Amino acid sequence: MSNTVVITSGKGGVGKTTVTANLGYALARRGVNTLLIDGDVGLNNLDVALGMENRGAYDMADVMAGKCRVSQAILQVPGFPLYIMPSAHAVYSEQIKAGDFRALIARLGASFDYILIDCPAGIEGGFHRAVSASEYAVVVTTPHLSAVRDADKVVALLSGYDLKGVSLIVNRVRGDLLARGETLDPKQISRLLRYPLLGVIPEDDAAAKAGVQAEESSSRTAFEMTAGNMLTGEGRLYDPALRYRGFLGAIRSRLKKNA
Amino acid sequence: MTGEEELRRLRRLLFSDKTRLPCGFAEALKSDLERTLSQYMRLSGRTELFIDIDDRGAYIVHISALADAVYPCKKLNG
Ligand SMILES: Nc1ncnc2c1ncn2[C@@H]1O[C@H](COP(=O)(O)OP(=O)(O)O)[C@@H](O)[C@H]1O
Ligand SMILES: [Mg+2]
Repeated sequence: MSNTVVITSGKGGVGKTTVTANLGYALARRGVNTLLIDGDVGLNNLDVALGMENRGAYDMADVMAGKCRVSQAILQVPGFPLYIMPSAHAVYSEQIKAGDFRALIARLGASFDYILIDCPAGIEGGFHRAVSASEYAVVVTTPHLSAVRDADKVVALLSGYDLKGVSLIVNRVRGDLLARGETLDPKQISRLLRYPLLGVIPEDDAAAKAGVQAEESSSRTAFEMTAGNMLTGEGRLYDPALRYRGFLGAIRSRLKKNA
Repeated sequence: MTGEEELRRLRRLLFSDKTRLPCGFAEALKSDLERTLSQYMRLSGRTELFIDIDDRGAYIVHISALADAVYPCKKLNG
């Protein structure tokens, strides 16, 4: 049986799709058989985040309608044990019932170690469907007031579901601001929302290029630590402020401020 | 803005979001509590219910009720 994890947020645009794609890669690089499912209604771009758009002939709606076999709607990312099931187009998405979706996920569970569902934000349609098919939920937020406030509402919504665990990922943390104490600290956010931190991801342009992250980047390191936490529960967190601390760090931070 | 100020604002924001209970929540809770209490005692005054929140975000429920008699155990069992 696989672990099914829904990646959600209170506010849109905080990085759910980016997190799903990068976490998927990080798990697959460790040899974990991972399936990513695009559960985002109409705003589906998980395939784009993976560089896998326009590859498949079928999507989830076709599976549900019995137009193809499940395996025909799943694409493999070349060279990795990483798979993606593209979302249904918005028009069909509404017709997919929570029960049918849950049954599909349960069936897929036999073939994968992890299933990550890129979920719509808390207030949107499709949220219930994705959450009720999952065992674990990860709430993504940025360190901004409005995002954390909406994350708080989503964790309250999630408490109404029968989940084995809920944790937080704080995304787009700017190390320079964190080092100068000018932004919310992910640990404070976790304390206020009263859910544990699964990961801290720095602001990093490379995060948008999950598939082509050949070289080391700060976000890649952070996603690898997050994947490690998922697999072992070890709780190692990336510190975006590290390179801005100390003597050299203070110079970097000042340069960044003046830039 | 400093992180400290943001944290203070956030704390206040979450606090005020939380104290906004669902519509009719206090009334429904109060009438359920009154029903339960009146199985144990004869209520003789108004029941007051007040929901507060502590600085960790936990709810504190204050109830005060007035009764002029407590029913004997017989009635409780039967
Ligand atoms: N850690 C990050 N650093 C820099 N940009 C990011 C990061 N995470 C997400 N982004 C960017 O933010 C935008 C929104 O992200 P996306 O994953 O599509 O959000 P959502 O799926 O929650 O709507 C995208 O342009 C993405 O590239
Ligand atoms: Mg998205």
